[in-house]
Amino acid sequence: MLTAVLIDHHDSFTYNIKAWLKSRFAVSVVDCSEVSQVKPENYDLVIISPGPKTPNDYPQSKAFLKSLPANKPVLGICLGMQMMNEIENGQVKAYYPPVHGKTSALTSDNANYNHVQVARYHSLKCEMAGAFEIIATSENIPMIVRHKNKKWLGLQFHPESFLTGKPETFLQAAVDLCSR
Amino acid sequence: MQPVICFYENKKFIHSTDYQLISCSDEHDALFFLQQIEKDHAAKMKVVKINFAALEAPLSNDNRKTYVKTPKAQVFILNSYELVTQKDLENFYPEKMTSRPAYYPTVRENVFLENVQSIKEDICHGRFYQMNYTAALEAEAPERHSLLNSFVHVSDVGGDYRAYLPLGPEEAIHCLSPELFLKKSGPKVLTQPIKGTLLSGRALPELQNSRKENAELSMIVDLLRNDLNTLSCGTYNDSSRVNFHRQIMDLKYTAHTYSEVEINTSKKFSEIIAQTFPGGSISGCPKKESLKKIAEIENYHRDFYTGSIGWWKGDDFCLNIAIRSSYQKKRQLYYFTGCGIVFDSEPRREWHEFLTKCSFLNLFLEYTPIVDTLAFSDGISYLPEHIERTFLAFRDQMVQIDMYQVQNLYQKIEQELSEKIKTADTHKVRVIFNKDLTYRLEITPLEKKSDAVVLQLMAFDKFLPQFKTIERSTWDNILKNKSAEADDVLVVNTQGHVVEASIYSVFYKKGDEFFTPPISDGGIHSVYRAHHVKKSSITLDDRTFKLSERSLPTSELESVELYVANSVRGLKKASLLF
Repeated sequence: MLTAVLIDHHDSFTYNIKAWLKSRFAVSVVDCSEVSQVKPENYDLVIISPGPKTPNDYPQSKAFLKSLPANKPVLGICLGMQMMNEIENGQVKAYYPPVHGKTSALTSDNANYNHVQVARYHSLKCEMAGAFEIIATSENIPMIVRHKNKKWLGLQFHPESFLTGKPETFLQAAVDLCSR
Repeated sequence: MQPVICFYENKKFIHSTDYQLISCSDEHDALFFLQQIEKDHAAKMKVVKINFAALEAPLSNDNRKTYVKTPKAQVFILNSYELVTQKDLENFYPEKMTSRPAYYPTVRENVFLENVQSIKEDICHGRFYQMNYTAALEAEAPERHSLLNSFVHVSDVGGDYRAYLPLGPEEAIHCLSPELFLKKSGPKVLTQPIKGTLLSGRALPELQNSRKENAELSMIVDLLRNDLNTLSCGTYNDSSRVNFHRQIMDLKYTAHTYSEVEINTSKKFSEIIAQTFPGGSISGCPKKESLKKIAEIENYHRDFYTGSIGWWKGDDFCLNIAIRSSYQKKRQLYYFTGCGIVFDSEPRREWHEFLTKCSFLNLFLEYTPIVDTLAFSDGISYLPEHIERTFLAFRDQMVQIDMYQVQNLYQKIEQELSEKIKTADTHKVRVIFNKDLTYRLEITPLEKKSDAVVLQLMAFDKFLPQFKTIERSTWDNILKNKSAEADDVLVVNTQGHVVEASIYSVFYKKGDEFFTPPISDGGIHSVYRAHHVKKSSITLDDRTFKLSERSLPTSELESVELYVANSVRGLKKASLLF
């Protein structure tokens, strides 16, 4: 069993993420206000959770993410992916109209991801920094991104939602991140 | 002893007149209170009520109104009880009510619309995805009004999770909820959130095919999956499952969609409440930010409303979401209702939904004929504004009507007036509309009055009617205090802002510009006002001035030129009686 620490930004979906990862990861949930006390070396994976508002509303989480060594596997979901992008000097902009509780299909060269319906909860979108490779998009918005030099995986959609098809595919991606 | 009545299973109710009521006071912790009950009264059948904010710390600087104040958690320990049917209840309490209370919203339409807009802005800024926005309606109970009897005899509009709780000698809660919050039997806990509303008279596919209504429920399902996942424990190590999604629940005046989520757990009542309270469907998503916004935006404490009521015995229990609920203390009655606001919500539609959800209360009310007063010479002056206002007035009384029907009505009226009025002189016409869209005309030649209107200031702390009907008691009572030297009164609201006169809207000139108080200060929907506000200008003695909406504090009265106007008499100079 792998271990993960989930930095919780009060999204109300935190325990769905924990349940989604349960078969492969033992997940510890840490409130984002206590992120500075997290010892990343104790975990195989760091997860930056989704959450309300914008990356800049969580300076502690951003500082924590920035301080991680490049070989530390990190999964950023929604707000988490937006934080990753800002740290690498990418742009995070308002997305209008916002999409909440709706699904759309992924477009990807990777057959595992292409056409998969994913659940979206976001009012911001990323214009990705050059440090990232875009693996999948939906409606021209980056949905799955991978850092070119760090072990970072970003998901703009919510893999833990009951609306997302093939959640096990994305779970495998998180596992692969730890063994890459 | 007054009976406690609570939904049970298979359409049966728990009914008890032999019980002990234990309450958790403000200074005590609600969870600790529930743990004590869990320990001391495990085997007894209990009926429990937990308030919406029972687990929240009180806010400092809290300016919200307190319409209802009940202990944050209360438990009826039943010494004995029986399971009875609806028919049994009707036999126990046969007296039907003969008069019905007339409920009025405690928020104005425009405040409601502004709040919905503000929620939508926060959604755009990523603060939350959905928020449940609610408001109270109030009424004075008619003589011998009994919540118990109304509870028993409104079974056709009540949901499956109905309860009646007597809280004191003249204090009770009457809950007609259709929504199951949590049901635990053995290790299984399930929840059935409801979201998405279809107003009566519309077709089910509109609800089934709506992306907005689908998203609204999906978000709450994800939220409740999360809340149930917090109950995962060593014994079962389970994850929550969605048993079904978007089934139709057809109530008499609305239809909804609902879903079911389930998990197995060995956690106890108080632990489950600690993790899941208040319910996601009546707070919002994410819950924490939504709860903050509810406290910012709603003008009152929800108290028991949107908390939970239900039964509890051993480790099994069943709790509703306490919605569609009334509260009575002595002669004061309150009813509460609300709607889920998402980005796609249209404020006006939500207001309509808000009214529709309480329409069954007002269905008991007599329709009060709507009055429109207009000037006629060759044609009806301000015709589009008259049509629009009458349409809104019908809708305000829940009359299902389309704009084109009102247009047709006015075409008929104009035709009839041209046949009846043969001179070119201006006539004043009073139109009284019945619910079935028939009408009666009262035609009088318009007497010309050129003098300035003398107004007497009058403070008034209640709502004035938003539309004109034959019911004039509010104005009659105000005008009783008018002195003989004044032509009319000038009403001032609780904020010290000028509102309107009994038959005129208020305008004032400051420098080279004209202003009129906004409707939010409490005035009626006036035709003359609507016409000129739309144009942003007003003409006086052949000169056109810019017109905008701005409140008029009484402190400024001495420094402005005051005018009054209506669609029959036009703009007139006004003076104050001191």
